[in-house]
Amino acid sequence: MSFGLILNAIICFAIVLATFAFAVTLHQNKNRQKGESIPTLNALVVFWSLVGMFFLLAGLRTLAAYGNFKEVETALYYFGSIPFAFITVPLVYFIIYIILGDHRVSIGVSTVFLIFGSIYLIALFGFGIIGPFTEEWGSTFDINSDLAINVYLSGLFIVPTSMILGLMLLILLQRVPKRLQNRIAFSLVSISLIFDFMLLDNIAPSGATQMAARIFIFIGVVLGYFSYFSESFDKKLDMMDRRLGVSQTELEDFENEDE
Amino acid sequence: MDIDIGFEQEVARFYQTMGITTGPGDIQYRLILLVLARNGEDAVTRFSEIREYTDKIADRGSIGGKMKSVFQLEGLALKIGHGDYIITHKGLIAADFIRSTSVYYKKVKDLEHIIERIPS
Repeated sequence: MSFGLILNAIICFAIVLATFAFAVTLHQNKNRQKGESIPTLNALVVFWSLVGMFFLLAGLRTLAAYGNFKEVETALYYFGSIPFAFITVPLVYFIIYIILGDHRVSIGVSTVFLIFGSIYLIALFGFGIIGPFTEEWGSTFDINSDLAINVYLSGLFIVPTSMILGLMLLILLQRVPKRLQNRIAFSLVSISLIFDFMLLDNIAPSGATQMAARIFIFIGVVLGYFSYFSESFDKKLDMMDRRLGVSQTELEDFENEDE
Repeated sequence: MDIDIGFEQEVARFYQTMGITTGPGDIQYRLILLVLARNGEDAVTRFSEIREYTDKIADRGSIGGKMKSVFQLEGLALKIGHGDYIITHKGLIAADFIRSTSVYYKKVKDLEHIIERIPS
């Protein structure tokens, strides 16, 4: 088996590390948040944790493909489908709560997506999967149910993606401070990037497509992390500059002064 | 249409914080105009009707002064008898403007709430 599969697994574990670090950092920042934003923060923590969980199983699955353990690989694909099916639930809660600020309505709407996710899982487990098809860069499966794919595409993919774009437009078209606007936009773009490429990852027709999707997901996670914590990074870099004595100092112009 | 004094005070305070102390930022002006506009061009508004709303925030003298120095002088309302007023067309335009300032205030507050709900 090829080096490509190992590289694919490494990318998966890098995504796992980045998402869990993101989720933990967000959780640690909980006491710095205003009461209003705690529910959305929790939803975000759950979202990133589910992404991390999916890629932990995907990474293990790729390693199983490298070792040619087909049964383990199939079992891991089924396990990985569970966080994959429910990833829209915290995401929809996050968007609806931001827009309406009503906990009950947000729970109600996300329950609809919970039902969609469950239908997807029932169809997936009921009709089964075909594969694995192990290639140089990845290992893929075919979902043996059109119903599962249709439910995912129509219920779990198109609607949440439209919601993300709608929220982004709502924020970008208003007079919001530039820094805040950038942070919100980058954060939503990263969520959208991950969400879209996770779908491609799951229904990837080839190993190379899967690998490419995972690279984009990793970029998305990093973008999401920096959109939230770029300020603290700036401060740390400034502090390092000062400690190393390489910070830029403003030099006065003495040209016209008498000595 | 009911007039919510608390809400009008909130809106007036919002405009005052932006340095707009007259017009939309003046609670007396807002309340008087809204009471006059509620009765419309065809109905007489009694001064006592206006005072039902303004007594909670200002004394009788200052409201009477405002009626004379702003509303009558600028042609927003006509005095047709002792303590009887009718809003003019110009007054209705001013009332529409005041209502639009409430809509703008709500829009700004809604956006502020949305931003507050986004984790920072």
